[in-house]
Amino acid sequence: MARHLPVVGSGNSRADSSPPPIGGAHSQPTPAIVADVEVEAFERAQATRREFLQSLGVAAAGAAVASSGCADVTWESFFQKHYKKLDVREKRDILRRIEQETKARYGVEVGVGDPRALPGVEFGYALNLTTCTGCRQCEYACAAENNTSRDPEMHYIRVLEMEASSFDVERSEHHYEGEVPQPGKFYMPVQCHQCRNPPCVSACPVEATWQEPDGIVVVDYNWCIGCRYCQAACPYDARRFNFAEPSIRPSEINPEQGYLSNRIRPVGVVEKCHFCLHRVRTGRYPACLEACPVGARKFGNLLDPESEVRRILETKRVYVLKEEAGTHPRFYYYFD
Amino acid sequence: MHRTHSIALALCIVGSLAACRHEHDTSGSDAAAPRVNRSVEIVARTPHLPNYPCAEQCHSKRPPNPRQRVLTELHARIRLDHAPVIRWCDFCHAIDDPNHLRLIDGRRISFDESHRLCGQCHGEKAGDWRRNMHGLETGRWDGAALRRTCTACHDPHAPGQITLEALPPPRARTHGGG
Repeated sequence: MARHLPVVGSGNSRADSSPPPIGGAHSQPTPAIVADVEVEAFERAQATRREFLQSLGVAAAGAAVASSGCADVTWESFFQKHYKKLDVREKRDILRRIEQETKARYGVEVGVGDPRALPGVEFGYALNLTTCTGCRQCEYACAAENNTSRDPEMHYIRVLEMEASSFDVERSEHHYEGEVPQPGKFYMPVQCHQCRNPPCVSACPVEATWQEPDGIVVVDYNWCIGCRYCQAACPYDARRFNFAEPSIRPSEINPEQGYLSNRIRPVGVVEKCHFCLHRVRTGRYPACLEACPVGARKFGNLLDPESEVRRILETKRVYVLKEEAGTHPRFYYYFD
Repeated sequence: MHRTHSIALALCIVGSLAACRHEHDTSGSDAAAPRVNRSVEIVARTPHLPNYPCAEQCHSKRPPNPRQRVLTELHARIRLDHAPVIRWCDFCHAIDDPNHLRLIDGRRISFDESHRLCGQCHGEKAGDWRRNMHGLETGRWDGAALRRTCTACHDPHAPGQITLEALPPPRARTHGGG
């Protein structure tokens, strides 16, 4: 006795229909027409299901946008494509939209650009631990340049105070005060190391963070889902999460902004140092470097043999923080 | 047969070179872009010196006194604590030309060029400074930059560790606030 599978949506059972091949040990060869009918029916059912799910998805997304209660989430931002898939026109529209949103929210005219990586350039940073006094000027200059939240306070750079002749970061002091440098102490500012082998990028489940051709690891704040895996993966504690809506006084907003860098971030996304991408890709030094009163910070093109950073790497005693982590940072410490 | 081998070998070499070339090209940015418009300007010190020009302000009327003594009336705040060899003003200042500094060989230089003076003893540091491995430079990494000379940061009369007041510590206890 041959078994018959019901034919979905076929209406009538055909007398000449043969059993389908599944399990039919003694079945006749399946006529093509039956297979066609089944495929058709299956596709029809799938199509209906797909349409249904699509409509459901759109409705749910719409509901999410409508019910989020957050002024930041617009229809356009919710359905925005991944940064790498945007064409020139879409990108331009997004930059204008962010400018308008900033204007509406803070009453400040800002320009949001998207400078691209320069050909033949790979950025590197070298910090002189012999001269760093631990004054934290870099930390605050970074906050001012990059529009980081003032309340809750967020800083990309942390300066660690350690005992001289030790390198025990675990026992370092982050909250020292008063005159610096204190006798018997030395100071080590830590920020994103722009690793060549970045664990944060591997950890991101949605490719919201990646390494650019000039070595800068960037975040698409519109694509980040806020899972904070990257934050856990970073051995340098360089990434920050916006637990609350970032607050910043309109008078303190830096109007020169970049899509992948210092535009004002929404709540619930991760951010970090990006070597002042909007500055360095237009030829300028990062803000932290210019703020350093003792000139402990050096920056340049690692591919240029005449650059300061290359000369430092070739002639000075260089230290790589957590070298054993295998991250291969583009941020180096040196002594002279 | 021999000829076929040669051709095959040549093809292999060409192929591997092409592969290398291809790999080179796809790696993107191996060829460094030279800094074509690099220019470094040294920030002038003289506009920031309170008693400059020294001759016009005082020393044309009151010539510098080359005798070593404790200064109580004028320049009393200057504490001379540099190398043991430097015992008096005339080691670095041109006593007969108060608007200028004096190199060891007697040449006069501007107060804006203190790196030439300091570099006579601190040659290694001066070399680092010239290559921007020491000192403060701002502006553009690929073009016009401003560099500070030695005395912009160091007190030449009593050089030593520069101390500063640290800005407030971060309010958050962990993660720099996020």
